[in-house]
Amino acid sequence: MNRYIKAEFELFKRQKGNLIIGGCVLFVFIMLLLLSGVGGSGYCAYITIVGYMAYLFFNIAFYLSPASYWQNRKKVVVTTEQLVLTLGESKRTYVKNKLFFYVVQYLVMVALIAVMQIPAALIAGETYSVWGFFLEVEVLTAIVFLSFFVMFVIPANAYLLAIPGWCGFCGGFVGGYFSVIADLPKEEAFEGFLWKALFGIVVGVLSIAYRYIRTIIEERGGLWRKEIATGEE
Amino acid sequence: MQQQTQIDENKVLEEKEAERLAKPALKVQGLEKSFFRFGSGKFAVKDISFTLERGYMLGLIGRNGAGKSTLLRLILQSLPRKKGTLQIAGYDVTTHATEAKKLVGYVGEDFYFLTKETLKENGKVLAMFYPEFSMDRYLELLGRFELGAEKLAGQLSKGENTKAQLAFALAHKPELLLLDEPTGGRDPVVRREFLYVLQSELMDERMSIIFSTHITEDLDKVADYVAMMEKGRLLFYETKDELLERLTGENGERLSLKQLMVKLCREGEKK
Repeated sequence: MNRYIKAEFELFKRQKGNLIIGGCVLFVFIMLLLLSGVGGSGYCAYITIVGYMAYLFFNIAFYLSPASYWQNRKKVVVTTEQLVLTLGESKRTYVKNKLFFYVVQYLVMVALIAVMQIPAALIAGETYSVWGFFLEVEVLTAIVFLSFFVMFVIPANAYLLAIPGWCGFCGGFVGGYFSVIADLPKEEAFEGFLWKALFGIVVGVLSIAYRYIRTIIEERGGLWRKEIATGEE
Repeated sequence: MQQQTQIDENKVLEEKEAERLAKPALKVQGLEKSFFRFGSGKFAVKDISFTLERGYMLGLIGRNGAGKSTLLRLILQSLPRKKGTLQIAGYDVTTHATEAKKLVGYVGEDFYFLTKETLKENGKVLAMFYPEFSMDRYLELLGRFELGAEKLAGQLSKGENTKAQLAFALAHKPELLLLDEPTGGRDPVVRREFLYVLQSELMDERMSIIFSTHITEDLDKVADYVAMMEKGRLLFYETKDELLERLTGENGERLSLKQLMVKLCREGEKK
């Protein structure tokens, strides 16, 4: 494993408060998933939002580092980005690792939804619900990738962390809500899910590309790189 | 055959390393950065160029808000630059950002130790960012500064914090050490100890130091070069002795760095 990923993960592990809250919300999410077979499609869409809350708390733990200092009698919590850039990590590596963590978290959530459909089906006395799985993943995808969009476009600032979270939450909630109230035949609804998830992914990928290119430009010191004048060398 | 190839490869690596070590610790050209500051409007660091050879200490002076910390953060790359090129310890940061970063040490007023961890634990966690970090050296320096390795970082006084930071920075064997007001608000004993360690570290001529401070008396003792910043620009950059020789008082008397700084600031205000 990359040395910096290990180091950042070590910092992540030390954000105990946020990890405990995230873990508790995740536990609630898992419990709710167990009942998704009984609850129907509306229930499925809404509980995914609880899953997103867990995702958000884990991201706060990733965004804020365990380092802090006092300034004018006010405690300043240092962001992970500030900390690692003061240490021996480059911005490009940090952005790459951040993306890696986001994607891993997202895939873990998708895997969790897929696996939890099995006990959920057993509890409901039905077969595995592909429908429920798609619905939940669609809502999660819309929320997560819309959060990416705002998170990457807004400059890094601890106080602005709430904004992407809120926007992603609203975007995903609205997407999930319309999935439920549309009352379409399943084939059409599936197609709708796919389009919405695809929209979320495209927006997410574009914002990731934007952030990555911006980081490279920042590292180069401008769009067009001037060669260093070596003089006598 | 394989052994021969290995020997050749090692030789090439050694030559490259020797070539790199022959290059200056820092080369800055046309560095620029502008941003908006609440309350004081637009601020810019403009057209900064200088070279710092290995084994020397550069004292960076200037009044509050002149751009000293911004310049250090640009060199550290914790702030993105708008224009310009940076070469740290032989690495161009555009192409070798990671290699360059691991050779830079930083000591600032608000360094970020993990507050709820001990100094030893901090060393273990933060060392993961530096491949060359030596835990033995870190503990040895903590001992030298009379800091308990089991003390919580959040319980350190300002002076202890500075010493712990210096111990950490030196333990990862930097080739460029950036000091941002490290002695500000520290008692004379801490300052003297701090300067003594810095001087001894410069002996091996591998490392260079940029020391930004208001306390010009510290620079009188240890700096080889002096640079002054005013309104985001570098007013001068030359050896301390030449500078003190060149710029004298009204009656031709030799000035201290403190007097010199006051004089230049007043002249700047008149203009």
